[in-house]
Amino acid sequence: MGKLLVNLVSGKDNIDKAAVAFVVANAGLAGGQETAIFLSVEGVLLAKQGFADDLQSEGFKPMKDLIATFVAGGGMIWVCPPCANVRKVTEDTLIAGAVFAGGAKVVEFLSLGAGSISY
Amino acid sequence: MTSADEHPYFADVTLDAGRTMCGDLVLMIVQQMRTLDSGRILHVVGYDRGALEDIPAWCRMTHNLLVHQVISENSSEPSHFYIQKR
Repeated sequence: MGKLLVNLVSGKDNIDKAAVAFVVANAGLAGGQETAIFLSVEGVLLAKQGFADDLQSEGFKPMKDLIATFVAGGGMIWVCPPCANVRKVTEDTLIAGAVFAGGAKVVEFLSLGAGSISY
Repeated sequence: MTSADEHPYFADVTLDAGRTMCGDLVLMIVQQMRTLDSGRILHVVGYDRGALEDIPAWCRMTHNLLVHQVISENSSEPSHFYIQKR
């Protein structure tokens, strides 16, 4: 199985980027790729329960639906620990399917042949 | 949580990583591992929940052996990792 890493640094500050990142990630799953989204910087807030509930980029499904589709399809959401720490995103507030994972996890995935795309 | 003492592995060195996270944590481990001979065991204690993914990933990448780990229930308690140098 191929691997795809989608790197997302934006959240509410740029909902367009966030939406496209999850659309592409969902396309990765649909294409049979083992797919992970690495959320860092402002993007980590998307992994906080309730944060994405009222976010929607024009022309796209609501963020909560894009995220739910990704998780239900077996996508992995990796949340940058120091970025989350600064933004008060704690383990008990993470959405289902999201875990804290940092540089080593990302580098390992890339070293195993994952293609990557960044937003 | 299982006691960190309930395992057969003797730690040659303990690294208290505190709340160090992500790349900084891995660098700390690398620096400490350089001081150890092959086969020795480094005991890493830390609060980073990302380490639950990062340390096993680092071990797989570097072919060091994660021989034992004790995962705390939350970030208010430290987790323990026992890494045998290749």
